[in-house]
Amino acid sequence: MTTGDALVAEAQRFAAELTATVRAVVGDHVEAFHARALHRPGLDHVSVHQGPRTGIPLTVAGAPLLNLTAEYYCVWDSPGQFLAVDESAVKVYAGAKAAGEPLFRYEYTRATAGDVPGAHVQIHGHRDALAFVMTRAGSGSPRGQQLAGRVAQGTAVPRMSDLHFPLGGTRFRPCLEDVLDMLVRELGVDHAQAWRDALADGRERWRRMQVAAVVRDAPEEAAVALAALGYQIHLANGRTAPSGNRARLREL
Amino acid sequence: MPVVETLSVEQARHRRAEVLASVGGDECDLRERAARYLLSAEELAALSELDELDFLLSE
Repeated sequence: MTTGDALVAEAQRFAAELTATVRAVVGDHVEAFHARALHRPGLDHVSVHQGPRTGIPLTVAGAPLLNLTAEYYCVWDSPGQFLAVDESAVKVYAGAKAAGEPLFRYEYTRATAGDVPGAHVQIHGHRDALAFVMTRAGSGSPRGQQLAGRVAQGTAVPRMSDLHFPLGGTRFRPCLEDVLDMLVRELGVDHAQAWRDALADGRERWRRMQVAAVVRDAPEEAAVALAALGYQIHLANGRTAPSGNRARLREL
Repeated sequence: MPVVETLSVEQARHRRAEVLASVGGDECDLRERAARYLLSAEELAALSELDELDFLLSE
């Protein structure tokens, strides 16, 4: 298989996974994700995005309420073995088509530039815009039902604080250092001179600890990754392979 | 199964010109209105494709 063929195969696999994920929630009528590849020797780029370009309509009780777009820009990882996401953006808009300003977006940039964190959430929606969407919440989930019930009874006005945005689960959640960093970078909070290094040190400690926890969650993947780096991994005599913690890997 | 469209540099450049023409040809105006979140769904879709093609063509 040539590098170009491998690139196309990986792009197709990634687009198929994204398609399956969205169809599992929204339905089989959703268009497949589209992928484009531009192959040049030593410089392969792939893009994957939802179809149609105007976004995937999300309905409540059959009526369009929101719209989802998801775009991924990918390159070969350093050893040239699999696609690595260089940039991604998942955005949610109010309305049947993606237009104007999103309500919120999850974005990632591998090569972080300046003071913007590589992975971040940005809330765009004016409080009224989000409240409007929330007044039309569907009752197909416990929290949606709770919200719709309160709105129907007129017992509460929806608040932005009613929304809980996922941030990586138990293992990949942000740490205190991330929050303090955000307050200094984004809002110019007063800070000591060595704040940047102190927060980076703390973040490193946190992530090294979480790496160990993640290895316990998925020891087989850890062994494969270490073997690819040249390590020889063997279970000690008499030990059985740990099963990992699949539930932890699957939780929100 | 999703289809992967493989583009050459020339094809990507040609497609970029087509997309830009489809929204009037004034990229500065398009990006300026995008920064103020004033784009229609079709314009936003076109801008998304321009950005995609720029990424594919980047070195």
